[in-house]
Amino acid sequence: MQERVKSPKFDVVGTRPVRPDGADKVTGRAKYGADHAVAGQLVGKVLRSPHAHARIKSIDTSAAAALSGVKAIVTRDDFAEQSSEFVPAGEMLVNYRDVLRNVMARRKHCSRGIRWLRLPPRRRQSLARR
Amino acid sequence: MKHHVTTTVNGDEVEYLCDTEQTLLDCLRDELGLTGAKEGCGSGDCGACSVMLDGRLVCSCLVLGVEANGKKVDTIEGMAKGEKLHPLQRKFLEHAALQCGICTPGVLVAAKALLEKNPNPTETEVRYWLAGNLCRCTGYDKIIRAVMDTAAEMRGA
Repeated sequence: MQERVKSPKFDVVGTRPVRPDGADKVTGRAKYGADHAVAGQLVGKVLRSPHAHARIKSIDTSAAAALSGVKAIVTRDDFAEQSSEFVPAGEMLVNYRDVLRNVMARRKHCSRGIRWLRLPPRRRQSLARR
Repeated sequence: MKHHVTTTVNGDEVEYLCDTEQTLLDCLRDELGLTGAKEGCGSGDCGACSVMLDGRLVCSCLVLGVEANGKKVDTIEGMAKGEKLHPLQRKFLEHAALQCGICTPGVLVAAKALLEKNPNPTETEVRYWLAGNLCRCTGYDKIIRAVMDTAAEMRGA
């Protein structure tokens, strides 16, 4: 006669444990990346395109550089050797160089200075790849 | 020029200095170190920064820091009384109504505001009330169940 298969006993599988990080998460104590602050920390701010599809005509960083506490500004020109995969350089990019302008500063800043040529939105990925 | 703001946060009187354009969310997180409220979108779509301002549920990313002057702010940090969790927090753990936890503080603050206003909400009312709190992990069902269960328990208590 075939022996009956014993139902295995598991310590974890089939139980409903309360997640170990749960209490910290429901009380707001859990620390995520953006929640950490150390002395002298620099804050990075990314300025992204407000348009669905556009060509960058120019980037003027002088206003951002003039703000107090600004330590560094990074634009696409700092990545000239990086190839642009989807669309030509200077258009709205979807790779590493789509970081249009990073401002590193002691405090959070947001300012303008990019001139855009707005283009009709590209709906299909295949079009955007050309 | 910095503004000197005096306000009450979770029952404690606090002061901070802030710029004109600084949001209440920035002030809570950067000036007061209360990082429970999260910045998800910064445009009032996601609800992760929800706090109570004079008893009204607001997105703190849409409120200026200076607007809190002389008002009462309640955040997720004030929800548990010491180590004793609020029933909502307990039920969220029981029902596994959270995963990554980024939306959770905002959802809890919003759900608490709902139960204070309406202790006996229908599922539809809960879903509509929490429509301004986006969650990409749970699929919402567990959140709704946790809130409904909490409401039933608090009515019974």
